[in-house]
Amino acid sequence: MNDAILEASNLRKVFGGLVAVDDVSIRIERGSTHSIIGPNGAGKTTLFNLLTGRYKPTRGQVVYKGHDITTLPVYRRAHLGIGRSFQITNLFPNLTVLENARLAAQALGRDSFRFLRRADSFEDYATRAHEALELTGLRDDAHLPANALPHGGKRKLELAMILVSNPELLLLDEPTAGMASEQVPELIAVIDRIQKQGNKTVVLVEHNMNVVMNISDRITVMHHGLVLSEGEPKQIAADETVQDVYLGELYDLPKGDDT
Amino acid sequence: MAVTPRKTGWLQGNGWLLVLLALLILFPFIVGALTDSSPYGVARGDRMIMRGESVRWQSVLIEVYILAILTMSYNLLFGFTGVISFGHALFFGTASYLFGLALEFTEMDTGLAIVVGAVAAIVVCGLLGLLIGLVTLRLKGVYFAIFTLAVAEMFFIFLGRWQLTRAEDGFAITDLPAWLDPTQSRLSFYYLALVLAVLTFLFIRRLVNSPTGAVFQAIRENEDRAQSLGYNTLNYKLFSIVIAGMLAGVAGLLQVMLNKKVGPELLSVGYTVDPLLMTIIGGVGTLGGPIIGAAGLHLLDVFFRDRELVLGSMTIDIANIWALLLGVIFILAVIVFPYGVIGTWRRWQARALRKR
Repeated sequence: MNDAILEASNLRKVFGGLVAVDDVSIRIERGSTHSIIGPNGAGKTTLFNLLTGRYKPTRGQVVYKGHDITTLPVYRRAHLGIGRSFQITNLFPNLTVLENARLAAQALGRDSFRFLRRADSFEDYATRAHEALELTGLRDDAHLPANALPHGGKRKLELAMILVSNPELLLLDEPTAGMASEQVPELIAVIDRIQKQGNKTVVLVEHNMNVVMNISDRITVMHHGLVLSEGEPKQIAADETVQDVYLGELYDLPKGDDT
Repeated sequence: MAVTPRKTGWLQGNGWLLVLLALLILFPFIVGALTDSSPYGVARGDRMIMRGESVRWQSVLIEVYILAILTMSYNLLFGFTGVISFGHALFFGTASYLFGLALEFTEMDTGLAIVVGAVAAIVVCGLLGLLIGLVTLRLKGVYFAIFTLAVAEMFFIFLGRWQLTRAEDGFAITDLPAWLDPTQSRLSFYYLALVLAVLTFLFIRRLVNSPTGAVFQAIRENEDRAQSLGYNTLNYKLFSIVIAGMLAGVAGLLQVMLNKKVGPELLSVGYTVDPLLMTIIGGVGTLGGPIIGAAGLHLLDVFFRDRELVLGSMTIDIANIWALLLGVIFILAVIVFPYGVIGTWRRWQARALRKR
């Protein structure tokens, strides 16, 4: 029985002389929340970009729902139901918040070359955009340009755009990066809500250990472009090698459930 | 810039535009009445001679309309899609050569030659855009710009040496029908140019506010993100350059009819730089900006070029220092209107609204 939504085998990515990802195999179970952690430079974001199609691997294979997608470009993967957010806030800065979300809705429709009709006459897209803004608490900011939002608002807009495109597989690259700690629970709640929309799979790169330990079903630990360890949060927290190279050095791992 | 829901009626929303349009329609007659000259020219025997203030000002505005079409086309690519081309003159010049060739170097009768020439010119401009885009749009920013410059210069040099079209001298267009010939009937040509400029404006406005235009702007803002949402951005950039090429071709057709002459200077880099500067000064990525930029710069040129500047005992011919003055005007314009005339005005408006 294969219930993996995404399976990557023996991925390797070399930039010039730098081996960013050495030999990584990872299996993402359908419906799970799977976190990828590791110290800076471990190759997490590179792995992420290999999964989303931004980079082509030097070697190895990516299989999504039984289809080999190793060489498919980013936009084709989006149509197959793979959505991503970015570590660095990555919006359309001078377009309105609503228009950002509306573009996400329009992307997966078939009307984008209807160049003689007004965009706002396609009500379905606008409605979906409005719903997503409602859900993420951005309704009142709909007509601001995206770059006028505060940082937390921008992160929420990222999620709203993912919500609109309603992907089966969500790849979130450090969704809490740069957020004030009191805003983090709110964002986690939004991720929760997205997941509950349907049987969604979430892959998460994250530095915030509280978040990782709380919401993950499985954790993969990377180090120097290799998978160091993989398991359930409790196993990872107890793993001594992981603590040595990563957790022990850089973070105070929350013991037990004092989150 | 972004798509905003339409709340007012069409007439209300286009009030200013309609007033301006009415003024431009009446313009030849207004100038005629003010200067006591006929908008039809001066009758001599059974021919009309194109003389008098009204006729002279008509050609100034015809040039503004041509530049406005060229600049609107440039702005579609640069301002709305975010693709910087340094080879826009290629489309402008190619269209004029094809039209001239059809009229002067084929055996077709004039009416047919005009239709075939114009259609061929616009189709070829679109194909050229497609071809250049397919080869180069995978390149980013500056590299794309340099490539387009190289292609345009290549054609410029080739046409400067092509014996069939009399190399650098170019060739004259001799048999335009009277209604299309600005030396016989300026007024009808004035209205033709005005109609084409208005149609171009309406078309671009519709395009920019369509789903396709929304994707253009998304690409300008953040191409990576547009791809990860699921847009095949290359296709949209190709579409943009094809449309822009065809519209620049329309401007080229008008130019060749106005001058009644075809020559390699129509492919010179000036016809790329002018629309670029006019776009920047008028307002990049705005609908009205290119029109304001084209009108402003061209009218300045007309007003000042032939004047003399008297400083004490010195008399300076402005024509000699015109390039220098233009440079100063550009610098001032960019300082006073950092986002172009329209863009800066919008920001002032927005700030005033927030204060209220």
